[in-house]
Amino acid sequence: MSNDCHITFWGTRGSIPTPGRLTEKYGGNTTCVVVRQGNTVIIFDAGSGIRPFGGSLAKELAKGSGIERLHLFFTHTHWDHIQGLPFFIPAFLDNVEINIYSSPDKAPLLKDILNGQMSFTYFPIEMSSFAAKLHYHSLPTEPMTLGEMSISWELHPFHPGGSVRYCVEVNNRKFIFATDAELDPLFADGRLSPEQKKERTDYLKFVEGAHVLVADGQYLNEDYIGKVGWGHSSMGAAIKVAEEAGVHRLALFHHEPAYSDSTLDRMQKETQQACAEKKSKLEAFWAREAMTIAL
Amino acid sequence: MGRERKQTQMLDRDQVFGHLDFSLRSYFECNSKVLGRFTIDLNEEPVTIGRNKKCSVVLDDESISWEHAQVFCDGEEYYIEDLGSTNGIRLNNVKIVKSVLHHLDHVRIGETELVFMGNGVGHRRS
Repeated sequence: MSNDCHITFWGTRGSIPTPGRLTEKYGGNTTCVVVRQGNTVIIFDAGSGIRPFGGSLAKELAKGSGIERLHLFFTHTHWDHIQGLPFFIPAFLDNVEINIYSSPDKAPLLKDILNGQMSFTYFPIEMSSFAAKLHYHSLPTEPMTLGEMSISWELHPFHPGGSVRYCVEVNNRKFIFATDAELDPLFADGRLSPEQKKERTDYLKFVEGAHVLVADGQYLNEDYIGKVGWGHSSMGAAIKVAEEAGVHRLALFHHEPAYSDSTLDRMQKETQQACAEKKSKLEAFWAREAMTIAL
Repeated sequence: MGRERKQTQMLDRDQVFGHLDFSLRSYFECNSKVLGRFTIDLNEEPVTIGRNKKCSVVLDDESISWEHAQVFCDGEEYYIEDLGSTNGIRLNNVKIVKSVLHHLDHVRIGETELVFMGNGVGHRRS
């Protein structure tokens, strides 16, 4: 079996599922990214993208792939990060075990939050109908090991209600999942408070030298001005931070629902040209649904 | 004086539309420094691309691995997948392992550029 670690984007859109002709290329499903090495499967968030992932995994399970233990890590519990779970087919299979992780501050509430979105008022099937064995975990303070992967985390303070950023290290490679963060105030020119300076330093240290960084880059720079405080970054800030931190590959993520494929195509082309002109080592691209890359 | 009535002339379909291709087909328009311009037709059967003579599309170019890539249809969409090549696959200038293909996607395999023409994605050629 290959020892390679692969990252697949199943949901890339921010805020709300955005189906339609204008978004079919980069995708309209909300956050779900899967990191996989051999039979170890780590899922980041259960936005609507977890539905097609579940369909694909169910086919593998039916063939006897041997992947019965899944690990689902939540960044936070905003709708676009949990709304796909009721449609996750493996959750209805009794030979599947799902380990669900969230930050210590959210862990005591998580079960009720997930149950709540499947209460009869909102959904016809209650979460008690899941046949899979569910185990809830509070994220440990020390890095945890799953298969050959080491997973660590930090709180993201710059998102309303908070979020979590994750680091996966394997084969001497580093993957960072850091969506839902408003980086602009921390990395703009200007005076920072001591607290902001610490947050900036902590963030840079966490993502430093990442081989792949999946980062919030929701807004065009000119649109960010009207969205200050909404908890998401401009594309320019995400790129600037990745360059400063010596990141190798940056996948811009959590696409604004109002942006079409042609807008994201244009941004990717212009960004790649700009990086080439200034001889930047950063490879920036816009995450696209049903795309797998190597770590 | 009455207007002369024109007679309707029946034309053969092939005479009018014969030069147009109405078949639902997906294919790659390819351009290689070594091999020039050519087309790779796609259908339901997986297509393997490489230097190995056993591949369904043989590209005799040293920048391409013996078995470099596979293109397949899952019944709905076309995918391209790296078969463990040395130089990899770039999709719109992004190095990938596997991806679904969309109309006008640019794929680079070694020194060969391929443009995906997804006019009939998932449909049998007529």
